[in-house]
Amino acid sequence: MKPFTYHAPRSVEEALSLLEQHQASCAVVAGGTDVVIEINEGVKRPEHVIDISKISELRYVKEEDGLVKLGALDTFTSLERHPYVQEHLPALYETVIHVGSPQIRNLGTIGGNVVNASVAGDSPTVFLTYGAEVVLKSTRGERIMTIEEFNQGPGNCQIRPDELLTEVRFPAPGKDEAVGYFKIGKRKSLAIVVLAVSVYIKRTADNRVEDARVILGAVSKHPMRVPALEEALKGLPLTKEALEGTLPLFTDAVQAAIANRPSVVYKREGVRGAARRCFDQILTQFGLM
Amino acid sequence: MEQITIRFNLNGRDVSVQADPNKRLVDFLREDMGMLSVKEGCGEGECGACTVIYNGEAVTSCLMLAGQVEGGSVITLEGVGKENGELDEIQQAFVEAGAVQCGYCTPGMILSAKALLDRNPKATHEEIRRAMSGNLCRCTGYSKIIQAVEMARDAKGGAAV
Repeated sequence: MKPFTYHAPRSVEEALSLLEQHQASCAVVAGGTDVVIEINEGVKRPEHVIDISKISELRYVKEEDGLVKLGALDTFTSLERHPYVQEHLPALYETVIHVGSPQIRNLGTIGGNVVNASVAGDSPTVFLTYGAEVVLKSTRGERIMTIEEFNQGPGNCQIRPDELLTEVRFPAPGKDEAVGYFKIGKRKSLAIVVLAVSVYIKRTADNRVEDARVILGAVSKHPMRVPALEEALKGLPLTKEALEGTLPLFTDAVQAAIANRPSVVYKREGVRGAARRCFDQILTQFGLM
Repeated sequence: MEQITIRFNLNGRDVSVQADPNKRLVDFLREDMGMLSVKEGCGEGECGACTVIYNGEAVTSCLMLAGQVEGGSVITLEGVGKENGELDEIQQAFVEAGAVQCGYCTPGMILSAKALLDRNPKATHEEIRRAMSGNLCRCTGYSKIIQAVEMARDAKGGAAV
């Protein structure tokens, strides 16, 4: 490990001033589950390490002005145990309980997961489905951008060297909205995402699809929306049969996204099962199954 | 390199130590604090051998920097036995169930089990399996480890209903 100067700010303000000062060569450590490995192995060689894990003001779950707001330092475990997540955000719950291992969920934060922007990351997919935005702060001010704009793939998320991601937020789902999420990994625990499917549906009063978002994870350098599927879902009645009529389009989307990858052979099949589980979750949330 | 002062509670004792900030928690605990029960396996958070309990939760100490425990509490296997020198129920159960072969994963296994049972004394079979899922063992095949945790739960009086 290359020697570095260690900073442990206790407030966002303090962290931002350290970032401004040391942006030329620093690493931010939140949960550390990715960055500490990179520092230890010499992949990252920062002169300054800013450990933000002690900033308690960045740990919260709240609903405010119609938005669900999650502090960047919320760990996967803290979200799993949070009554609001359990009750109102079943797809986020489904996501966080399948991250890494208990030890990783106890350390890993959603802010780190989003900034790390791994191809096989867990939470960026579901955040895109929820229509999330990220809040980026620096001593110069605050920027808010959609997670779609933010996440341009590994090592290319749109954060500036002096910025800190402080919050992930998205519209609080209403009673006519539901989100499903299903992850395929190689085993139950300690598995990165091989393929993830996440679906958002807004329904009409007579139980048809008014609006839809379909996101595939781990078939592109960042979670990918599938406009063709979103269009196909619109207007369909909310029945298992009707929704599953779109399954061939999931296969098509995977085939098109990773046509030259060896994994396409099983991912284009697996995606149907994952999509079916998402539809089941959504129908269950709507009380239609 | 400027040393930092780390104040934390280690196995029930408040300590204040001057340490090199360029260390992972696993190295700090072994090299500076002499906690040799903490084993490094993969160094990437995948195997669970270096598990310790930090503020009541199981964590892999290869993924933390030493300075991060400032103000917190850490439990290693050295802090698990009873004050009179007897084994804790979990350790005793590992012995009785034959849940130990080479032993390298055992400290981490016992600490994951302790973090679970401290928080959830009536943990079910499935909850135990999930809580232990971040600890790999290449010898035993896991059955006896899960069985040991169930025995420990029962011995502590938390039998599942």
